[in-house]
Order: sequence, then C-alpha cells, then structure tokens
Amino acid sequence: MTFSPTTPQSQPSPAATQAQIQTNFAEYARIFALNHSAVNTSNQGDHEGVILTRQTVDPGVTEDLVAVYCKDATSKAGTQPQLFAKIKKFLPNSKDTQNAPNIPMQLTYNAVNVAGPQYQSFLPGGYLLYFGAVSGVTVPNVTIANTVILSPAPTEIVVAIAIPNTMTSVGTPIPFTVSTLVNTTTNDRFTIYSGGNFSGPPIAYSFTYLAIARA
Amino acid sequence: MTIPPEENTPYNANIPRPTDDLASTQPNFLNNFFQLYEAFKKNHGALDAGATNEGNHTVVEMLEQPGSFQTDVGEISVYSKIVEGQTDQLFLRFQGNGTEVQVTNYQIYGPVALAGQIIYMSFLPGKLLCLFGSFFPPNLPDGKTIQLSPYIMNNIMAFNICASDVVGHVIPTYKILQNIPGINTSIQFFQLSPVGYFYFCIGNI
Repeated sequence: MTFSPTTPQSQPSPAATQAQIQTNFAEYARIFALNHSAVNTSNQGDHEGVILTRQTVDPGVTEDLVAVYCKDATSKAGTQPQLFAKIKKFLPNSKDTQNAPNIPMQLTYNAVNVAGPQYQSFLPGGYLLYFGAVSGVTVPNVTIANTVILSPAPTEIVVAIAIPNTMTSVGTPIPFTVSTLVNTTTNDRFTIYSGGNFSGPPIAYSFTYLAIARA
Repeated sequence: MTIPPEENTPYNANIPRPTDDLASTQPNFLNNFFQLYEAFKKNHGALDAGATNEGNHTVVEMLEQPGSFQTDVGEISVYSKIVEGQTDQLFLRFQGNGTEVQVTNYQIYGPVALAGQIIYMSFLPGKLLCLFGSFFPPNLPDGKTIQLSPYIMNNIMAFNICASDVVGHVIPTYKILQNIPGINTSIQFFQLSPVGYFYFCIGNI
C-alpha cells in the first residue's frame, strides 16, 4: 500500500480506512528518511545524502533563493547529468551594466585527475582545467616542441599557457623563450615551443603548463 | 489526484484529541495527509512517486538566510545568503561553525566581446573570479592593453600570459591599470611580439 493524500474520505466510515491511515504515517516516515535524518532521531529533518533526480528544464529563479539541481550537460565525452546552480538575476547594476540573464551555471564535470603527471579538474561554467609539467634536454640549435595531449579530450581549448622552469647551466639561470600553439583540428592538444638554450650546450629543462578548455 | 475540500486548511498538528472519535476528526486527518503530501512534494519526488523517485530531491531551493548558518560538529551546511553588490549566492560552512566559503561568485555569462580580445569568465570558491582567453596585438607591441571586463575585480592575485606561435617568445612584462578607483580594469603589456597571446587572471571582487 502507498501513501494516499485523499484518505480518509467521509464515506465509508474512517474506521474502515484504518489500514490506509497507518500506511500513510508509515510511508511518510520511510520516504522522508531516504534523504533526511529520520523522524524520531536526534537530527530529524536534517539532510544526510541529497540525491537529485535529473531535470529536463531549468527552474525559474525570481525569488530570494539559490536553486541547485541536476541536469544533462553535453561535452566531448557525451551527455551526462551535472550539478547546476541558478541564482536570482542582479544585472545590470551600477558597476556592471551588462543586462545579463541569470543563466544556469554548470558547477561540475564528471571526472578529475589528481594522479598526474597531467592533472585535471574543472571550473564552473563547463570548463576543464588541465595542468602539469613536461621536461627534456635541449639540443643545440633545435627548437623544443613538446606536445601535450589533454585527457579527457575537450571540445575546444581556449587557453594554453606554459612557463619555463628550472633551466640552468652550471647553476646559472638561462632565459628561455616560450610559446604554445593549439591544434585546432583535433582540439585536444597543444605544443609548447621554445628556442631552448639556442646554440649553447644541452641543458635540462621543464615547462609547467595550464590549459583551460570547454568540456 | 482529487483535490480535497480542505485544500486551504492549514496542517493541524493537534489531532486527534483524546475525546475525539475517528469519525469526527476525519476531515482533519484528510487535510493533514494532503498538506503533508503537498509540502513534501516541494523540492522532492512525491510521496506516491514510486520507488524510483520517492523521497529524492528534484531541485533544492535554498531560501535566502539572514546570516551565516549554524553548523554543529559533524555537519556541513549549504545555504544561500545575499552578497553585497550581487544577489543570493551559495555558501558552505564547515563543522563547528567553522570557515564559511562562498561557493558561487557573481554571475557567469558571456562578457561582451572586444576587438582583438576573447574573454571567458568563471569563478573559484572563496569569492574569486577567473578571467581568461586570448588577444591579438597590433604591429606596435608596446602599450597594448587588454580589458578585464566586467570591471569588478578589486585585486589581481595571479596573472599569466603566453604567446601563441611555433617559435618561442620572451614573456612580456605588464602593468595593471585602475581606470576606475579600486578596480583593476585592464592590463598594459610591453615587449609583446606581433603574435596572439593566451592569458589567465585570478582576482577577488
């Protein structure tokens, strides 16, 4: 028997629906406890786990509140449910005159990589953040070209920044040049270029990098 | 679902009374069950939704709180609170009335595109704003300026830049400009090469 909000009715006698009344009390307590501390416990009513079922439309947020919900988001990896937040519209104002709508903000992505050597996390807005380091030894008069393949593969790389690090020759820091170039055909990789130590002797080098991409 | 006649009658937590017989409190029972059903349905799968969705949340609407939320040991609070100059934002507070962290910050949108500059916008927990993208300098490299739009960043905490090319370039120097008092509005570069550049900026608002 399930919860019935239309019980008991005036006919037949309420006594005849005793079982349904009891079921309603029992079902309410059982279902309430699925995401909340159960009734008759010290923390009754608090949330424990919050399971969000997938929504197909965004909530309208016009009152003084923040809505958090789950909705499908499309990325290079496919379509998967992600956590979204929507706040009340507050633009334009005196500082920011753009009449921007309070569009939903995707807060999550379904994967992170903290094991390295390439690390990956995410930024709100559907962006992936990749970072790590590449290293090698310079060859005189040969341009350094280290290709970094991003995993998981994104839709579009919008930023690829590399910074030279630990380039020394017999303890003396060597100024390095650096550039990056995104492969706009595959959109999953970029190459770090540098003149290295130019015609100087081979030295060990490394570049730390940071890339941001649309998931 | 049949709407019972007691639709507008509030929930009555004081029934049945000891002297009532079940028949006399039937309308109250009916109304209470109906009000429980309607109240629970807000933000949750309905009580009669079936095993797939019953009790789970559909949306979690967090009404604006007047202040920081009470958080006991063994708890984390998630709540909304108004932020000066913005609107309600999502907050976390760690156990024992611990550190309060503003999770959402400002309002993500696509800033207006500027000539020769692409802007993306995101945030990090802690009231930090991220502006990033790329720009394409003219042939006269010194003095090239990019805009940190929207103009809401009080302090820049980190800025990185890198040329986009197939040969290495010297990393340019830069100067942070405040064309609005107290606001870092733009960055001026020196020793740029005539190629495109990527940039990434973190600041607070």
